[in-house]
Amino acid sequence: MKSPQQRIDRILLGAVIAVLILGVLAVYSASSFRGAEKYGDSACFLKQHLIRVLIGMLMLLIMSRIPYEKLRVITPPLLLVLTVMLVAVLAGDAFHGSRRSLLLFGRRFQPSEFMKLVFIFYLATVFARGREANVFRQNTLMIHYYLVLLIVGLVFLEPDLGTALVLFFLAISMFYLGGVSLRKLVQMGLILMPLVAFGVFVFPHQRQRLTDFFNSLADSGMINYQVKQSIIGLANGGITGVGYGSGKQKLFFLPEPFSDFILASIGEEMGFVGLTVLFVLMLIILWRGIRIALRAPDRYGFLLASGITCLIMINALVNAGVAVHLLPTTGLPFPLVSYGGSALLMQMAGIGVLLSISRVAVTPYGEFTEYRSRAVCWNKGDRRCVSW
Amino acid sequence: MKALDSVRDRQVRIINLFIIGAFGLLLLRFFQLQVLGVSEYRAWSDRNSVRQISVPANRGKLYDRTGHILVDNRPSYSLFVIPFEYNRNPVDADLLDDLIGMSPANIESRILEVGGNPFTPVRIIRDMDFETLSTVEENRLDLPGVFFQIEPVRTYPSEVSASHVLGYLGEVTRKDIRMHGNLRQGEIIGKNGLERRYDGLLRGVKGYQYMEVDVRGREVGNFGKRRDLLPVTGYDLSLTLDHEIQRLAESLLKGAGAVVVMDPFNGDILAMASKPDYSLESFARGMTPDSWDALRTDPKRPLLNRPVQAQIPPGSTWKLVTAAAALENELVSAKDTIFCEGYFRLGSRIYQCWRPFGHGSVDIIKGLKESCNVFFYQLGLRVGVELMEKTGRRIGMGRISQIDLDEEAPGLLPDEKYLDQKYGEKGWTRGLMANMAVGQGDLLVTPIQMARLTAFIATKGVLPVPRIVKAWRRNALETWTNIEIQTSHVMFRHDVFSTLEEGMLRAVNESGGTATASRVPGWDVCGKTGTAENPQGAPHAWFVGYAPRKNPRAVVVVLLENGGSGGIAAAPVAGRLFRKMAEKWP
Repeated sequence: MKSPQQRIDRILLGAVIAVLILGVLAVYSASSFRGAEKYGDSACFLKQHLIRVLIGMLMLLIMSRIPYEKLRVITPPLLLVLTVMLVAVLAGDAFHGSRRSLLLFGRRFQPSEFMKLVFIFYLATVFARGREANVFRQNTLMIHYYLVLLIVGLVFLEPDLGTALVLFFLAISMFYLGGVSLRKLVQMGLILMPLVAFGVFVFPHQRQRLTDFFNSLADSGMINYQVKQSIIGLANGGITGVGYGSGKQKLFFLPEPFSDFILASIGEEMGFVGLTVLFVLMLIILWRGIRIALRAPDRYGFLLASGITCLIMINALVNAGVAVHLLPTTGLPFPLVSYGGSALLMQMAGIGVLLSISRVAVTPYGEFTEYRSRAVCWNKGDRRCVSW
Repeated sequence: MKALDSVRDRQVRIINLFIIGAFGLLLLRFFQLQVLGVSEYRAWSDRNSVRQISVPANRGKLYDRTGHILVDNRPSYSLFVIPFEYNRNPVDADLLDDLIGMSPANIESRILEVGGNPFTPVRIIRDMDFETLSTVEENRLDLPGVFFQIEPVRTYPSEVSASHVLGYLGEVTRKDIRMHGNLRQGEIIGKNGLERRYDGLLRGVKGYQYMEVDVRGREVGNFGKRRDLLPVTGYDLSLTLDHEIQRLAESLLKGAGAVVVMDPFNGDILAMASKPDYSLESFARGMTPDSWDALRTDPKRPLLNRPVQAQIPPGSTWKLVTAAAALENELVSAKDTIFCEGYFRLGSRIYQCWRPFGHGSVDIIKGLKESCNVFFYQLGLRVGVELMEKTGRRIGMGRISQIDLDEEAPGLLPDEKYLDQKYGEKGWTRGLMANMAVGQGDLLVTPIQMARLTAFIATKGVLPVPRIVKAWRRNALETWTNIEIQTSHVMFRHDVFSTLEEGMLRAVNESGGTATASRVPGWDVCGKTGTAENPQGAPHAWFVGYAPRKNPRAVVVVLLENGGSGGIAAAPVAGRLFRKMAEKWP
């Protein structure tokens, strides 16, 4: 028995659209000068961004119409294709100093961005079976863990430390949500230690970046140039900002003013108030995402929804942490706001899945009096969902 | 079961708390940076100021066909202000006024005029002399946001003027920016002539320099790790002009007028002179609004490039077209004669020949040689408007020649429709046709059109597209790349050419011809004069011709506005030019 089709979560959709609009405004303001300088068209980045937002909306609508159970079917092939692509990226030519993207149909395409989403699909499938399933046997668990490490390692080799870390923390979150105990997680983390040590040894660039970061925490003179410019922009903005379009950091100082450091642009022009509005919107997305997860009709839906919510939040937190000098620089875009095609498309697809889950959410006012156990009752007849 | 459910609940709660906590931490950090304002970060913000200076590229140079340099660059000092810094800390206005003679109101209106980004420097003075510059530098501390930069400006080392052909430069207007996306406020582009037509090639690519400056505007150092971008010099152009012929042509024009010297086979313009002209140097130094207005409103119209823009009745030179139309359509043969009594009666009107007592018995060759109006009145009536229009159109009349200059006038070649419109249907008479046959009435031509017509006769069918640029190169290290020659062939009966040529040859070389003043011993000059009646004043004098007859090397068209008779005023000018070329190319 299926719960009747309901409306998608409109509060979530509203919050997402609000963040997108904020992003379009911020991208336009932050990119107009560079666009005019580089291409003679102050709106050229805006146009690109709008096209991507439209494609993203389309993606979101499509994903929200597909019943999310269908994702199980496409997950293994997607995982395989993306892993192959990650290997292909490593074999390809460097673009802007690192090998992150492939040229597909004339557009740059970052498999690592889409890997984030497929990672969630994959781990949700793994843990959807519950505790009785084989998953929790030591060996099976470790096989999945090593696969995760392999993929994270491929991304790390690009080198893209930021995305690798996001993928790793995402995997840990999924393991935890899937029911792996904290003690086991710590054990698994310990296995990683020699690997991390080896990585730091092999990549002096990354080690340098880490040591620089820790040094700069103590001595502000050591702060690297980009972060310094970001902080100057934020400090310039004050409470209400210098006004939309009048920021000066974006002119020459701030690198990537409309992708990695878009928060600095927003913070300079719209001030603390603007950033608070953005954060409140992100918290609304968090609230609705968790709500959708808890009301999901089955375990698979719960894992998908909470994983996607975590992904968006981790991206946002890491990006913001870099902008205010609480984390070392990573080069991650802010979700739904920053300029950048692959990331935006991936996030819109993720939110589409969230909306698709919200469509079949079980309400506490339905036939199930105690909604916390609804998943159990509701899925009793379903072969795939073993009660837990 | 219950237990497992609460496990999930706990997991979600922990992750939730973790995320919300992180958001809280970040907000606190934003609060610390933005609201509390750590003084250290504020200090960074005040200290930090980077100037993006665009480094203008050298425009390409222009050479004549022999490699003689016509247009070069020299360095000059320009004074700039950065609006943002200028508005933030007002400069010592009196000082600036003293130094450069610009009041704050002037400067502000200049900033408004240029518009654009407050961080983009605005040029307030071009080509400053060195003394002013050094005084500005001495007082730099009192002039924040004011700085100088070395910019290349055009210089014209040659004695040749050719101001209309070469063209002047100017700052881009908003309209220019709308039309070509890659321009920025304050840039210099070609405004007319070749500088305008070939602006894309000549301009080059400007570079950028990023300078970190302190509050006082002193350069602290090169900025960050960002690499400066070097400018790329524009392409050089090799023109078809010959500076010797050009200079002679310019010196021969005393009043208003135009001279075109062209290679009849490939359309190479060897000389293109227009008078009155203007000084390109004065544009390079920066025109004041007053002198620009004076130039623009001058009744003698010095800005007009007469060889391509003057639209003037062709006078008797048009008889070549009338004769061609009649011969091509077999409306006249070489043996046909008429008797000229000095006038021609059509209905109740009398049309005069220029010689009061007439030319006596006239055939077509004598008609061309002595420019007998009566003969051509009658011929014109036979040809009619339609055939005249058709023939004229085929040989380039009434349309632009597609020379590589943007400012070109099409002239006017009336057809029946036009006449119907102007005079009412059937409101125009045969008299109008008779008048048109001798190049009067509504007809208007430009000198370059007449040059093409003459080239067409000289080469027996080649109608070249005139060109002034024959090759380009990226820089002095590369070889020249030629630009393709465009010509078309217009098929006419052969006797058209031989008859016209015979008439023109005799006009110059036989006594009694109208163009004998252009005779050059040893060089068979062929020519035709024209005297275009002008109700406003003295007639315009025309000469069109080419030489040598056997193997023509140059077409010469002379137009002297209000110059009087073509044979007396224009033909000698052409004669001097032909003589010069005969000496040059023995």
